[in-house]
Amino acid sequence: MNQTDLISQIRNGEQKGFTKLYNYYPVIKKWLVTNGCPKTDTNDVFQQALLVFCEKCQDENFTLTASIDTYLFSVSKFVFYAKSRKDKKENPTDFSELEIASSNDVDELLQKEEKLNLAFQALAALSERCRTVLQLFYLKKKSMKAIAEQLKFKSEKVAKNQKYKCLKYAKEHALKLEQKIN
Amino acid sequence: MEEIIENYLLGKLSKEENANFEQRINTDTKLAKEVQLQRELMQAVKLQGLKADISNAWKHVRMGKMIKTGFIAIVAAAVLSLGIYYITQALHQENVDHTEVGANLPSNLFEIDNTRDTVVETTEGIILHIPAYAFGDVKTYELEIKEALNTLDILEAGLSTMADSNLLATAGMFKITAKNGTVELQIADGKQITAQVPTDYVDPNIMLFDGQEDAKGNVNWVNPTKIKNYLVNRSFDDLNFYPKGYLAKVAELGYNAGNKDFTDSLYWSFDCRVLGETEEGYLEGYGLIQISENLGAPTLLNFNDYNGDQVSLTKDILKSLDPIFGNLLEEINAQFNKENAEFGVVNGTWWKINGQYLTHDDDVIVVYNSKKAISYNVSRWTSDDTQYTKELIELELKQICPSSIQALQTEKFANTYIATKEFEIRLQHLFDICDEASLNVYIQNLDKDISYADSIVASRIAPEKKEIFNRFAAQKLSNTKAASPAFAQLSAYHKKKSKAYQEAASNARNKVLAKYSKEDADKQNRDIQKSNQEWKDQVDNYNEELNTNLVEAYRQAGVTYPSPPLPKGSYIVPVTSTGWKNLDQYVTAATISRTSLKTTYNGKDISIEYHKLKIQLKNEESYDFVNVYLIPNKLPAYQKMKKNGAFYTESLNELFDYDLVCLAKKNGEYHFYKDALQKRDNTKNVTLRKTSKKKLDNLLKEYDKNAANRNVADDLFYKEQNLLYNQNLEKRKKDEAFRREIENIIWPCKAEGSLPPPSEVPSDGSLGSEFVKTAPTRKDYIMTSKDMTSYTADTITKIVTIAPRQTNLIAHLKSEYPNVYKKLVKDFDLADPTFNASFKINYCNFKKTPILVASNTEKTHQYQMDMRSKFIKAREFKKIFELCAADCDTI
Repeated sequence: MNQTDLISQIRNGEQKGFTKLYNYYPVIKKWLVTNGCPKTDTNDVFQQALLVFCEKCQDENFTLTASIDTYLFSVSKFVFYAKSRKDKKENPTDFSELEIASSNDVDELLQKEEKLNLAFQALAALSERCRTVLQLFYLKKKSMKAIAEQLKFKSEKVAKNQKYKCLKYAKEHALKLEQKIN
Repeated sequence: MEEIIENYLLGKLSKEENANFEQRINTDTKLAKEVQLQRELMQAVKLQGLKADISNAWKHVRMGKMIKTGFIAIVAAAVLSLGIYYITQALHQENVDHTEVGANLPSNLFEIDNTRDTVVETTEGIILHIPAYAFGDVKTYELEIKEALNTLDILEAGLSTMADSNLLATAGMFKITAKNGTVELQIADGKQITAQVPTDYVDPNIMLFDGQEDAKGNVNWVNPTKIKNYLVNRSFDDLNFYPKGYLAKVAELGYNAGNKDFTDSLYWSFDCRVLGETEEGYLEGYGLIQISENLGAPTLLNFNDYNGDQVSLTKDILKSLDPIFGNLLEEINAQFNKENAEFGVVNGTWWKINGQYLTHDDDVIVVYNSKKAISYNVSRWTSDDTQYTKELIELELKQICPSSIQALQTEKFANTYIATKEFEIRLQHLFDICDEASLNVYIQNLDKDISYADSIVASRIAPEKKEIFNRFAAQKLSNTKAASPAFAQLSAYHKKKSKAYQEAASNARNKVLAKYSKEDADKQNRDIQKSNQEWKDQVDNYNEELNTNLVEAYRQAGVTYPSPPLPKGSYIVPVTSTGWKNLDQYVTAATISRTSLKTTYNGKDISIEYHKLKIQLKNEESYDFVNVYLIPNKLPAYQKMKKNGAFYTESLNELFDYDLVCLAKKNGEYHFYKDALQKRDNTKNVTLRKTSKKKLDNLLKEYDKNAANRNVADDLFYKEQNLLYNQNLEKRKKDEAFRREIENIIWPCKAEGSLPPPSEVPSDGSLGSEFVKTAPTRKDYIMTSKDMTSYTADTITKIVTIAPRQTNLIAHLKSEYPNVYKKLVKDFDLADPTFNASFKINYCNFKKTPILVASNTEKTHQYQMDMRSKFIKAREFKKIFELCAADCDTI
């Protein structure tokens, strides 16, 4: 199993790909804890790092300049640093080039998450089934036919209609939320 | 519009459409807003989905859950046997000229000996079991069977499926006629013929009807009787009790799958050990918690420490070692009530049980038997931390032990429903769900109908696996004819037998593992010995060469070298005669770098010459191994030439004569070359010649040096042992890879994806690299003396390795390891500045041996450290490593 295969598993949303990423966790956890990260936080830090990585993987032009574990390691470091920064702890300054790159990746994701705040809230208002339909379509890139089969819709058309309704509801909800804020 | 927005965002629009649409966005703010909103929603969906994937994967990893995709459909083509008894009827013959029903059906004719039990099989596959004297006391008879098992045959035969005025669904019809000469025979009273009729599907509602033929040749079906679906015993040789795909895999891997003796013994050799595996971490120890059934509580715990030595620990002793374990014992007692369990203590690593990741934490005690595994996290970060966290992860182990299957294939089960095709099919599905407990349900209920066990199993397993066993239960299959209440006792027999087989398999496997361990340990010892000896030889050679160079340089300068030369074993001899230090430095530098020295001193030319030698071997790549040695006449030991690209290179000191010796082995044969070298720059092409071992031994004797720790012959022996080890290792790897492949087949519920840990271990803050502590090599030796330039005027010395004083380490040894300390003091002068102690852990097949390596310029000793009193070894390992490191930092 090489790196490219693993990345393509992630890209295709295969669970075993995600599971395999956790093989990198013990070593990183060890580092985090030795460097002052509370044990209870290590999993959050690592999952955030995985999110940065997996999000990057979605981009088909994404290529890794380092090995996955090195990358995950430096991203985890940054997630941890970013967290510490928030908690007003010390901020280390000696960064390697790779680490600066991964720092950008971490910040990018944080900004993105912030920007998408409204969208997240809108999605949260959807039913579980709605979210599943949207995820299967947009993230897993499944065909409407496959989605209909998986979720036991009567036909492809019903599934398509359902997807449309879900999206529409989310949009309306987002707009409402926006108006409230303004 | 929705669709266009979506296609635009998904990049599905054509170039032209795209441009148009973008123009619209630029002008239409409402549209732009809508597009932006949808874009954000799509991004959010993706991100949220990824988060869910990541956190699901974590749950999956954490709980060691396996995801099995798909459901295996029932085997459709299975031929189920259906026992039917059919009694021939005297036909009511009113009209003599009527045409016999089914006259156009082909007859199966058999000549039967009435005095013996007989089994016949028809062309369509009906099997008749006919007891002796089934047809009275005639000696022989002719048996005719007509069969119409499919609709076409039934119609062609003119048979109807009418029972009075009701239409029947039929599973087939057959007619039995027995004649002695022209006399039609009747089945004798009390005798019964059993017929097995092949069918794709057993309908539990099917009944047997007798046919009554009327004058017109119509058959009316009367006397319906419920069919008792007896199961028919088969020989175990005809049954396939292997997990699905096993034979195919054996064949695929190039073994003879047709040899049952082989496939049986291979399958049974898997000892179903609930093996805890660790990767890269520490296994502190492992053992068996023996729970006495009488006492109902674990009173004794056999603990194999990291070294594999068995230590018996009572609860009190345990408590005193580490209070947490004493308390845990109570809990383990409750969890594994009346059942023995094995346990392992791990640290800082993934812990896998049968391939499933269980936990990854530090200081974890994992207790498991074939039913469940619980991990107790007793993690603490500092040694004075008294807060323990307990974490229970329960997990059902999914495995059917080959020993259980082996124990079934014995005489005792030959008449039970175990030895039937029906059970064979069920077993395949039990393998699929990997549930030994369900298998036991069948074994515990042998006295009852198999459908009873079917329904119990269906009720106890996971919903997605239920369906097939529900279908089995719906068949309402009964038992074999031989079934009796006594069969209820067989479960205990099976338990005993399978335990014995399990132990046998386990012992056999342990033997193999022990052999591997020994090979590894021997190899490691050889390596250490060789490395130490070569290092010492190099030091001796270096000292002697430096001495010779110094004497020569002083001689050229016209001054007597402040002799006598340094006695062997001295460390620092200050040369206080001022003025000579420069010369010494030059000579020392030249000796270290092995380059010529030309300088003037006291108006005199000083010259020490080194000549470059380059050796190239013909066909070098064709040999299993090649060694190239230089044997300097005046130095105590041989020098090994280093390979540099295609050449072996070295610089020769003109003050010595050198012999060149090349040695190689290929296909079990020895090849040899020797030559006395000229004192000039030299490039040689060497062709090795074949020689016998005896001749070679004699040749090598010439080069034996008494002062050397290691001679060329020793090195050859080492190389040969290594070659053998590597060959064994190759085979071992192949064997183990084969076993792993088979394991994946026979235990399909093993979690997949046991990737090795990441290849790059971060060097900061993580453990692991500390384990790589090799004996010093020549390079290390020179490295430690590299600070030549800082020598002060009055302490020019022989180059020696001066290690820092390891006071903290020594103090720790003195208090915690008095035996090692005593030996150390006896063997070494601890105040000797060249004394250095380092720590390493020999790691082999889950066994760890902590070793203290102590050395000075004279000797190296290794001491095995007894850490039995340290319950969490990793903490102690770490401490000793740190003690070494801390001392080093003070320099």
